[in-house]
Amino acid sequence: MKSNFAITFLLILLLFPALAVSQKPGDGLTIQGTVSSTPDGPIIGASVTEIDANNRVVGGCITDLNGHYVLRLRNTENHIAINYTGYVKQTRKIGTNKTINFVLVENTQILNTVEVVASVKHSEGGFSIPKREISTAMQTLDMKEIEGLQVSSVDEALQGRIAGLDIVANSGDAGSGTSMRIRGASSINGSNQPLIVLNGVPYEMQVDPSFDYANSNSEQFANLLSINPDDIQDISVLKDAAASAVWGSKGANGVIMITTKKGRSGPTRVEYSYRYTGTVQPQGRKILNGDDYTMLMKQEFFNPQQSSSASNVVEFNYDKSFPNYENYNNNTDWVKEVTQIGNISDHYLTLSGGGDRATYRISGGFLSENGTIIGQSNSRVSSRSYLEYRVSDRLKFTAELSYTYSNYNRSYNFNFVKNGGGDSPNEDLSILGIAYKKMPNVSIYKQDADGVNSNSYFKIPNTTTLDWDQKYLANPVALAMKAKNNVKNYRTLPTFRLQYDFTDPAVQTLRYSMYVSFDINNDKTSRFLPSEIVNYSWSDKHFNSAESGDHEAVSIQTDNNIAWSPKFSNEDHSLLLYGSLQTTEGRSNYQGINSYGLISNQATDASNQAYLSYEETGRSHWRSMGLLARMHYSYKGRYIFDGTFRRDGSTKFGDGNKWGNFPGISVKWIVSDEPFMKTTTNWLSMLAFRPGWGLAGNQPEFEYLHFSRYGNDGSYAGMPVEVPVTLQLKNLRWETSSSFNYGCDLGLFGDKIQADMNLYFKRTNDMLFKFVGIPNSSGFGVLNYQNAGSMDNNGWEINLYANKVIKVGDFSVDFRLNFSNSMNKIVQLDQKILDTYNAKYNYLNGSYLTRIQEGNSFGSIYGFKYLGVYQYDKYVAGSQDDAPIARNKKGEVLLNEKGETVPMYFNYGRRNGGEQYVFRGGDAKYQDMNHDGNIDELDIVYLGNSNPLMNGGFGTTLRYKNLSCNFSFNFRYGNKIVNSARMLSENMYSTNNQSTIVNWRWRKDGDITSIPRALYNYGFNWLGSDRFVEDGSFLRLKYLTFNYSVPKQSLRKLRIDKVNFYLTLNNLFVLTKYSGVDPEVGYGSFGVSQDFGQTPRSKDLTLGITVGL
Amino acid sequence: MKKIKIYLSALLLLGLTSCNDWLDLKPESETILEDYWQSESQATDVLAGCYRGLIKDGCVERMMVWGELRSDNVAEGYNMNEDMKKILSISITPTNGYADWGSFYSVINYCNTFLHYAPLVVNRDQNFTESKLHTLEAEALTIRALCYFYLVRAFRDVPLITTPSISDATDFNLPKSTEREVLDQIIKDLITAKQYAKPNFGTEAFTKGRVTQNAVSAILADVYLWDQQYANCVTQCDIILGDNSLELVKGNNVVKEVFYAGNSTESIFELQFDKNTQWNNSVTNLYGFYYSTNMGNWSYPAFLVPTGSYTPFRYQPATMNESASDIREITSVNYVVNGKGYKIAKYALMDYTVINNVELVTPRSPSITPNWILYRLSDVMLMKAEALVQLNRDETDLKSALSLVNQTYLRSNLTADSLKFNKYPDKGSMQDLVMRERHRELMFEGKRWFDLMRIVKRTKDATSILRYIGPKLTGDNLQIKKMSIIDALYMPIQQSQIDINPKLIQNPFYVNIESSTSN
Repeated sequence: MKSNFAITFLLILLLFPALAVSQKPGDGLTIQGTVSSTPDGPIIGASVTEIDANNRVVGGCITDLNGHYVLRLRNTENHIAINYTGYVKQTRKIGTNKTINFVLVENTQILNTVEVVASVKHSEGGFSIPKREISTAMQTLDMKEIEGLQVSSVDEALQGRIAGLDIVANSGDAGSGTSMRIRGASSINGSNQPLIVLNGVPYEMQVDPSFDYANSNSEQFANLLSINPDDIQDISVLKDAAASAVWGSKGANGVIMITTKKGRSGPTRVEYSYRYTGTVQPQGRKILNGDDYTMLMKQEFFNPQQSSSASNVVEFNYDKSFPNYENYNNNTDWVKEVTQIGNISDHYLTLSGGGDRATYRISGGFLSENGTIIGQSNSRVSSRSYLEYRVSDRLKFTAELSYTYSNYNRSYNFNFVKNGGGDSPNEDLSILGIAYKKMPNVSIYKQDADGVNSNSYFKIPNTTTLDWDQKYLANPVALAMKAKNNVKNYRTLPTFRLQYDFTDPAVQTLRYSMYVSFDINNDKTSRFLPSEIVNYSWSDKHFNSAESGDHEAVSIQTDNNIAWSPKFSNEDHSLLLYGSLQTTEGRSNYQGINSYGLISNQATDASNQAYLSYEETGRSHWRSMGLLARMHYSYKGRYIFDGTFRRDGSTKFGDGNKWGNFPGISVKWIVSDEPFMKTTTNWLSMLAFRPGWGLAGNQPEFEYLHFSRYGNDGSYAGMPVEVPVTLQLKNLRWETSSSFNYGCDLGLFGDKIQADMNLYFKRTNDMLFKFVGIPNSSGFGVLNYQNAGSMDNNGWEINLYANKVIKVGDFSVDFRLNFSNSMNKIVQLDQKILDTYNAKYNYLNGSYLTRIQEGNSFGSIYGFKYLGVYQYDKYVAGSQDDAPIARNKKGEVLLNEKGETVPMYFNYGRRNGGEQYVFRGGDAKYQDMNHDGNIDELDIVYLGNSNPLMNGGFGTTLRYKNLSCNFSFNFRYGNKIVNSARMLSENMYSTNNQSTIVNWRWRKDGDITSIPRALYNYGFNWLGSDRFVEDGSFLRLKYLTFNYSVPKQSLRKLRIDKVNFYLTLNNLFVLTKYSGVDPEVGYGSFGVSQDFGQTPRSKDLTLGITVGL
Repeated sequence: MKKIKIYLSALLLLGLTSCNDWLDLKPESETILEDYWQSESQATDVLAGCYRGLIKDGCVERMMVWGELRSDNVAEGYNMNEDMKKILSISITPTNGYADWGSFYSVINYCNTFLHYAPLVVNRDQNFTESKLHTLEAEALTIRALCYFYLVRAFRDVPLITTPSISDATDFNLPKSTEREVLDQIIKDLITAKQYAKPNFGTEAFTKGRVTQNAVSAILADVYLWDQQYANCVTQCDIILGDNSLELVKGNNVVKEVFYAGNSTESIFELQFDKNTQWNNSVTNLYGFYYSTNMGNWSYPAFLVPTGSYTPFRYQPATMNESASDIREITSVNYVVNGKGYKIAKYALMDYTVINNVELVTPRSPSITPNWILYRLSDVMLMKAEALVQLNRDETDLKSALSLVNQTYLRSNLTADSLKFNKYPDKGSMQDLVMRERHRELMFEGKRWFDLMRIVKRTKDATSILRYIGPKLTGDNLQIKKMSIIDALYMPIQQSQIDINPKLIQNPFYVNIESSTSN
């Protein structure tokens, strides 16, 4: 708080001289006159201002209907200025004049070909250097490049455009975000998300440790959704540590800097755009209909025990005497029932303009979206205003305010089968996931004895003998329509900035600037699960259960900085020094209640009369501080040196570990500017090398880790209870990553073709691990955090950009291409962590052996080799060779002492508490690597890695007159995905519905197929093997856009500035061998991509129009 | 110029120190260790945490699962979870959830924390006298001993930890201690606790819900009985039996006063539940609700009902001498077939009004907070009876055992005559009688499996209990084979613990199950 006072004080101090100085002779005098122009006569509404020696406006008025003005003067030494759009500005000294008339001249000068040689500047807050002199690995995306695209979020726009930035959409659900990684994962279970910096202010959401988001992933990643892409000017991605060291502890995962559009002086411009998008869910895997399903089930139940009484299940029998017969004789396509054509409409209105002194830009939009899954919708109201006021040539004041309100209606996710408990694999609990699993022979609605639908949803009754996985699985249509999962988010971000030049910026810069930024972020979650969907008895905690939670967070960030760029007499030298002090302070609190047994399905708020199952509250408070010094030096504009030093302090560490130092150094040599390269300038416009090194850091997510804390825990027999709730983390330190970057910039033919290449070596030390398991005999299950180990991320990236590479008359072509590769390796890890993560193989179906190994890459998949299906049950040499018997290395049949064949076992000797099994005909055949006649953990081999060998994108823009066509591809190559969705839909192990491929299953001796027999809760036909590990390489036509702007001449009559039409086709096709719906699968635990069949990204078509006035 | 430099560096120094202060944030809704342990109330709050830990689902559920599930009292009920099913089908693996001992160690850590820091409070809070400290320490020591006693009975050898876990600087990887070492610690702690424990606390909820002298003695008696120190067991039981404030509730009122209202005159130590903080979910889930048409996750096995050579309540008249109209039958089991077994009545069913002249309780909606009784007077009587039978120094031992059995027997068999010594003249028959009486009296109270285990410990033969649990096992050889190995009667250590703690060694039976059991 203290610092805020100081800032306010400083603000006042800086503003006051302006007021104090103005009390000078001349006070009370007036001046008057008329403003006119020769052709038009008197000018109405021209601005008349009195300006002082510093060009600061001290008074002003506008001319009346007769072009007349009267102005009360402050000082006769001042000047008077007349300004009117379309006319040349005039300034005259007041002196002793009492009347000054102005005759304005129309601003009709036509610019002849003027060549402006200016260096584009890149600016980060007060630190502004020529773009050519950037010596770090950075890539910028101008939003103009993607104008007209239907992107609902920034990350979508970035996808496939930045080399080294790997973006994967979490799912196609409305309002879910993406997971982003710059240059691979630098942390194993810390966050790998890059820091977002919005107009120089870190834009982040603090997670309260006590607040367990039900959908934390999508919440965190959807962060960017609250910035409207229409407001963005450009996005820069800082990739190497030399650049991100500026952000110190926050920059270890790279930095994405977003600059929003600002107002420009001129008449008020109004721009309105509207986009309509229709979205379709791509065709997923085909699943069985009711008839095929029941047939499968009867076999599946019969096979393990070979008994027809086991397969006598009334729900599969089509027995008319069964009272519920009509409800179990259907062919319901659940997937079709829960999907629909989605739509998005997006309105956006922008007003901008301003005069000499003040510019503004105000924008507001409304977006509403209906997802491709029924019951999902999302609406967003956002507005942003930007006001800039130049008090004088030296003092500038800026206010920004953005407000976003989003309302998400999500699907209610709940593990119905396990009733919220148990150790179920991470199954897909989404509506779509349920639709794929639900028995297709049941009806959506209750049907009477004649098979006529009633108007209530059918729910499998509690009395059924069906397995849990169907009994408790909700009717997905009912779930989508009746259950509620609503998140409302309000986010307000006001930022105030001040900039003051101590010297005339034209001579040299000594500039002070500061900002105060507030981030007010409130979430309100309400969920309700009505009893008509679920099967639980009314005493169950999920019977008419409601949850509601409020999460409020406020953070205040300040930055005070000074930039000094001295003027050297020798113009070869240029130097910029910059120092800054940044502080962050934030508070958040969370309150939630969860109640059940609500009386009705109508009053769905958790505060209604009901049983309270729990109440939660949490508060947190955090602070951090950063001191930053930067310098940029260039000699002759071609020898460039950059240095950064940042010292970060955080409340998250104990004494001795509070501060971290993060230096960064980079140099650049622009070879092409050397005199000896003169001969090549006609084709080589840029050749530069830029090596750099830097340190960046990472801190834990939670506060108060370095304390042993005592917290309230209810009461016992009326005695209040407090108990130690955490272990004190005495040894917790910063996670640091040190990286070397070797970059090269290339420009050909006047930068018509540009390329930049980077080679990097990054090592993360003291990696932070969250929730490290410790023996629970200590009374605690986990250490919340621990530093343990190091990891390398090495790679390269290439980015090519060809601007108007082909130009024939009105036709031109741009081309861009980027690709990158990142290799990840664990260098060293604490034994304890290895032990925690490398649990023993559990000998269960569906599980892959997960391992983290020193010297190996993170994200590796280990499992069995799948060889197909045993064709025969009994071995008969010659005729029935393909039977489950043990063979030696040469493939010869092994015989025991009695001369009998030895059966092939699974887990002979029941290792690690697993079951032992003898393979039979029709069972899955796994490769017996060591030829011991036993499939066990020793037969597990490396099956691949989820890290892509290469990923990137390319695209082209074609222009002809006013028409342009823009398309972009993105690709990943060489990554492996565990297709768990397919595994669960082909395993024939439960009563879940299966994909149609199981119709090819082995049914009798001699069948040749690669799909094993159906076994209900029996056997080992779906062990983690390469059968379900697939190549995730793909090439996606991400979008194809046509943009037509109506010629200006035809618009002028209508007094319209511009009209543009867009047509965008998103996600038009994907070329992939991957059998799942969408090969873009995020990283799960251990960095392994596991596809549980989340809602795939939709295909969509957008029509848009922008009108400017 | 020099001055300016001095000023500047002074300012910088000031700035940096104040920065460090600025970066020192303490939690708002919690107290940190450095500020804790200042007052008596803070000390009692942590002590209350020890009890609070016991009433959480994790502990009570395990007291029930470890104490009952594998015994002849329990069969599969309605909606039983997989882990329990595995235990019932004698295929316990180290990944079974009930092999997780964490909830007990969490209570042990609270006790250790209290015992470590509470002595410091004496110097900080004048109201907190040495004697107050000692009475509270007696409670913490007893709770810790009770936890270890459960662990030893379920796992045999377990890590013995008596220091609190405070920071990550400690090495948490500890090996198992032997059962002997743990039992010695338990006995030592209980003897210390006995010196300082209060006889009562004034209020009923505290006297029954917290550790009193009687509670310490009851636990100690149970420990001695387990440890086959029968004379010591008798001594402890006699201390309790000598307390006139304890009195057996009349037979007709047992359901109402002991199980429904709780804190009855015969109660010694029971865990207190209340509607606002903690429901007794374990009991309501496993035994069921009174109003529910469904039974709980557990049921009473059908094989105990038809008259056979051995059932606790119904047997062929010629084979046994006890009355066939024991009212504990209807207060324990409700013979309504629903699912695979019979509905459990004790704790769960309290909606009978009058059956067989026994007045039962009118329903309360919902009965979600029954106290969980750890020790009550009849238990102590029968513990003493068991110890006396084992001592069997002369006939008087057996006779006094019979008279103890008669006390609990007669109150539940209102019209029957007392059992006569000539029908149970030797150690063997008396031992069986005591077992049967314990079975009837303490059915579903988390005692049965440990009663059976005491037989195994005495006979050093796992098959000695097959006559009780045999009927429950399927014809599968494997199940009987497994139940014939003593090591298999203890729980495995949970796999996740073995994985992260290299010093832990899996319990013998579970390291590698014999390959001969294949096929």
